[in-house]
Amino acid sequence: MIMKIRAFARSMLGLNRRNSDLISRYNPRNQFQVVDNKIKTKAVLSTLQIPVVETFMVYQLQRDISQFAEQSHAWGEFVIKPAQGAGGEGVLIVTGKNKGGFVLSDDRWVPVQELESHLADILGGVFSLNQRYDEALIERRVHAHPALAPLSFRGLPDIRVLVFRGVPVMAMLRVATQASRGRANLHLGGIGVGIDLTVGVTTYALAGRQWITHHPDTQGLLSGRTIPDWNELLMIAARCADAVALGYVGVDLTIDASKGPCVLELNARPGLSIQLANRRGLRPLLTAVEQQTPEALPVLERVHLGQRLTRHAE
Amino acid sequence: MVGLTVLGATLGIGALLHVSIFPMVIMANLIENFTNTQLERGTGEAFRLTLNTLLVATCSYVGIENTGLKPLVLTFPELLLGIIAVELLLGRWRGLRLVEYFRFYGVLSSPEPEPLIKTRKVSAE
Repeated sequence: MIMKIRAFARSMLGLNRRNSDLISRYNPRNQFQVVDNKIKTKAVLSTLQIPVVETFMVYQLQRDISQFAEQSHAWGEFVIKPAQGAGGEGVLIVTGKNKGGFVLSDDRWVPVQELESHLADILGGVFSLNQRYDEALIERRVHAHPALAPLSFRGLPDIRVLVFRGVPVMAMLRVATQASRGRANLHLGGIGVGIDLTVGVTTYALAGRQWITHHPDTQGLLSGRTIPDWNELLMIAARCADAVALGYVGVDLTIDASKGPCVLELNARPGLSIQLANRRGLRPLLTAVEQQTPEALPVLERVHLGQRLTRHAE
Repeated sequence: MVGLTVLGATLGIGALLHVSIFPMVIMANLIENFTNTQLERGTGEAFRLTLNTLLVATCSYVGIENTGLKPLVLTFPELLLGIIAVELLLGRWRGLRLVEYFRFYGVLSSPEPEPLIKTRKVSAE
């Protein structure tokens, strides 16, 4: 028992070690402002031709909001996001228009005024990391690839790839449930599904503290699913890490039904639960990467290195 | 503050004269945070946080009053430096936190779910 716990403690990465050995060592402070702001992230990524979701509009000032009702005629479906939001808070998915108002992804009808006041809340910094002001952005609504869509209840499933020194080391799929209200974040009730990095097939699914094989709302099978364009996703994730010059970064991607893989956001303080969904600790993998100098390798080699390491470093 | 003092003096309520500025500031702060949280995260969450704050404050009060901590710290203020040292020491700890043992171990020690396709075994061959 004691031996088992000690072996377990040696392989799991905890918050303290993540902060001191990874984030403060590999993530330069001045890059945080890029990653923490979706508008800046998108600007950096799109100059490198990394696919991101198109932005329809950015609202920076309260007085711009008065134009929202008129401008929204041009957009069929769209998503409202705070630029500096965290954990999926403040995101509204608008699926259509009806009777002078809008329909949200949970079939709720809201008048224009409610969306305007939501925008005002975002600009006021209600959902923002720094609690001060923020910007609101309107994005195209992404429709998940048919291989991913049935896995999630309403919300968009996303794929988190953890990239360490340019090498993808671990990945998980996050899907929404009824309890998480369309959001895929684990602490909101979403499900984390581990992914075998070598082939892009899902392994174990964790809902809260419960291991499951089927989605509680859709009854769809969660494990053993093949994720399309897997190697391309990993390459995009590795290129994102290069683009923002962060040594330890979580890249959130999804696969659009028509446009293929695209980046949703980056995270400079990626969480630890990815280890749970994959049922393995990160530390052996990170040590294995640190024994090399992967920064010098081309992207494809780094992806292969990550895949090789997950197979052998136990 | 002034109002309370004047009120206490005219009505002859001695207790009101002793209200000092510090508790008033803290109460005002608590109220402000309460309304802020209520706006952003709902009334329930605001109540929960306020109750937590009051609970921690009560525990601290009991701890400070009943354990002889007050005279000790007042006589040897340099003890506070020791607290800083302990905090620095705790901050340098890189292993798992106690809560992480519970958070991770409970989940990972449960029997391994049967993966429907044993990809890792296949790829290892």
